[in-house]
Amino acid sequence: MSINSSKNKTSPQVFSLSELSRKIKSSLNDSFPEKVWLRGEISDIRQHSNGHVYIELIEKAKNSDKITARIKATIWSFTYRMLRPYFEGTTGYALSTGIKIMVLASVEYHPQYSISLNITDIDPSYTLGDLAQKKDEILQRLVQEGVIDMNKELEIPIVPQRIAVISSESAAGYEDFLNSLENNIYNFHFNITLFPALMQGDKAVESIINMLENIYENEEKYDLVVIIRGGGAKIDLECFNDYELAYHITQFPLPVLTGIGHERDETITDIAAHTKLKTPTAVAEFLIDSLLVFLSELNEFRDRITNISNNRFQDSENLINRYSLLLFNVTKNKLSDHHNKLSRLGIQAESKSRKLLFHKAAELNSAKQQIRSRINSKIREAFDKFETSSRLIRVKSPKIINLENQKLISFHKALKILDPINILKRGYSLSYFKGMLIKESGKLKSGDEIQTRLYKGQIISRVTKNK
Amino acid sequence: MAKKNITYNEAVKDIELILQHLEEEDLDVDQLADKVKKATELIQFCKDKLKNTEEEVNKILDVDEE
Repeated sequence: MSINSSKNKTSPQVFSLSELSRKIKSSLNDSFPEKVWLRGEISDIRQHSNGHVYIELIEKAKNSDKITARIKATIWSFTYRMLRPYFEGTTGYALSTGIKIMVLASVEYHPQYSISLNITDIDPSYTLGDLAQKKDEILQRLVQEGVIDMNKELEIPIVPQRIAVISSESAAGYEDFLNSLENNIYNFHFNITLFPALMQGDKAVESIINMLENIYENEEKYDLVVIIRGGGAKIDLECFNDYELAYHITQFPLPVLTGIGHERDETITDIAAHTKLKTPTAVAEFLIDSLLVFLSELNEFRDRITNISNNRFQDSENLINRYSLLLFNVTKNKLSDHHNKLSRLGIQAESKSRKLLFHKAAELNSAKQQIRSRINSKIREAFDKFETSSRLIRVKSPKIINLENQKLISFHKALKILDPINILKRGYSLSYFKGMLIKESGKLKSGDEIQTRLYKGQIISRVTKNK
Repeated sequence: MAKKNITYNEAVKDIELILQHLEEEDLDVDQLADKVKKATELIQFCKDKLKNTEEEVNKILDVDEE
């Protein structure tokens, strides 16, 4: 057939499929005698059980998602075993959907499967540059929308203890986080609620946003949100450079802390978060430190209260002691005043009474004098009277005496006649019994002793007979 | 006797009043003894209250100290 073709130039040439395939193959070989470097976005990637990897590469129109080119590629298993660690180790990302790569490939044609690329080498720096550019674009968008710092403007509560954690339950980082919080040496207690999410792969962004929305429904139950992942391979961070996720975080009403567990560049999620920490353990330490700050503030408050109350006590005690002393002094003064007053009164009373006494004594004295002078005058009067009387007596008495004498003499004469002696003289006697003059004999018995008085002497005789 | 329900501040005010009375007025001695007794009781009351409160405060503040 090829022989005819050269002869009939004007008639249309008709190829069999295999002829066409051969022609294509030879053209391709002519066009791409060596391997070529090319760039494209992975739209699909899967590894066959035999280890070979099948990729679909695409190119999109600028500023739209419209696909303008598409081609299949393969990486044979022995190549992939070398390329994968190289790529992941350099970029920190897995070869996965959405990533743009630059690869060295031979363009191959297979009559049954059409054109495909056989990838033999990869340039990770292209991917890095592309990712950096993409990241930068997202960042710029968030900045231009004025939301990038919104979560940072929230205040972390003074005592952040109610923690909503978005993580994968089985992640080693989550385990580290729990251990660090639970084994803190200060015995701080934390309420941790896990919101389990996929932390890598295509579904990660949606899963994390779902959990944020769950937390948002009970916003008041939590002090802050912690997004942690980590341990294991440092790959597949691309989901944390997602615009939607970052936007949700900036708009979230609670502070969001990240501990995504990588040491390379920050992800957009880290930048949008309130506080970015390197590892889940660092997040735990940050929380413990916050409580420690609060505890030391409390201690400071307690010390201040102690000081103030001690001062107040001191003041009150001083006041009371001063009053006590004042009371003592005032009372002492009062008593001393009263005492002085009393003494003064006493002295006054004494001097007054002395005066009074003196006065009275003088009065008495003068009364005495008066009395005495009166008595004296009375006495003199009396004396005068007596003198007069005695003069009179002296004048009158001899006459009276004489007169009296005459009387006496006449009395004497009368008496002499009456005197028993004169009778006795004449021989009469007087007999007495027991001192009584005997006038009747009847009163005597014989034997009675009687006394008989004579003119001269007396006799004692006994009654012998009573007639 | 200090009233049961008197507050610390009332007690201090009473003490001040009595002191003022004692200083200014010419009290008779009978009243003096009463006032001094009252003031002394109030002072004792204040001291007791201070002491109790101090102990209580210390107790409260000491609870947290380990």
